[in-house]
Amino acid sequence: MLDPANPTQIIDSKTTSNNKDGGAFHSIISGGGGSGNKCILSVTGSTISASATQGRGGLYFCQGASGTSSQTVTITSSTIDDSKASSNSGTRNGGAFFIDVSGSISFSTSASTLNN
Amino acid sequence: MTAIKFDQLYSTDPTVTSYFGNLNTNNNHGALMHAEVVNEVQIQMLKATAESNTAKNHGGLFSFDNVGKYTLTIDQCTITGNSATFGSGGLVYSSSTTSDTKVYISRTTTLNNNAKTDGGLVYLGGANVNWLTIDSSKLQTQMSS
Repeated sequence: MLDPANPTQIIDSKTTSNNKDGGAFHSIISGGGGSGNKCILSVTGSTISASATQGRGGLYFCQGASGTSSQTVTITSSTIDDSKASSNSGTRNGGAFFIDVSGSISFSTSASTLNN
Repeated sequence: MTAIKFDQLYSTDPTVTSYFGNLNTNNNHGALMHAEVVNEVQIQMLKATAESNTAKNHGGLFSFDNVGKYTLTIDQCTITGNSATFGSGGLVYSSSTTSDTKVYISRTTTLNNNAKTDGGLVYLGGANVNWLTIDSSKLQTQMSS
């Protein structure tokens, strides 16, 4: 579970393309925004390898619409392996995670390996 | 609320599982199921094998559109080689007209599922809440290409 006492926040910059993002998971909040709008990703005891060969977020892409939206990522006792965004690294961000929301981001890993 | 369950069908043999293979939609979404439900739907796929299913557009297996809330549970399944040929979500797709989404994948192995555009395995476009949980699973080579 998410450890609220030890969150790590990451924010990735925007790019111009909206296509081919999220090698395994793509989550986009399409509503008008609000404090209740949120994306939640929880991975426990799993092994995942994925890539976005021409996009952003080799494992996971999340984007919130205008207004307030939040993102919580929790990775526990898992292995994230070989996750890549596009090799066109000049325009594709987030080798494993791409997160772009207008509210808060909480990102936590525990007892996990992220390996490319 | 609508509840749909893909279970071990009517077999009492615990080793017998459901099988979904080579299903396809020629023009649209959800090779196994496309759901349009105004209110709420719960779907379970348990102890199933799903392989080589193809949606021409979104959702290699499941597609949700215009759903208030849905919960999709995939437990103890093997999911291989499914695709959204020209769209998003090699396994699951939900459109922006869906409000709240919950996808729970547990004790499941996936291999070589892919989408042409976004979300090699799962694409969630819910308007309010997208909740994705992966538990005790092995997910390999989900391509968004």
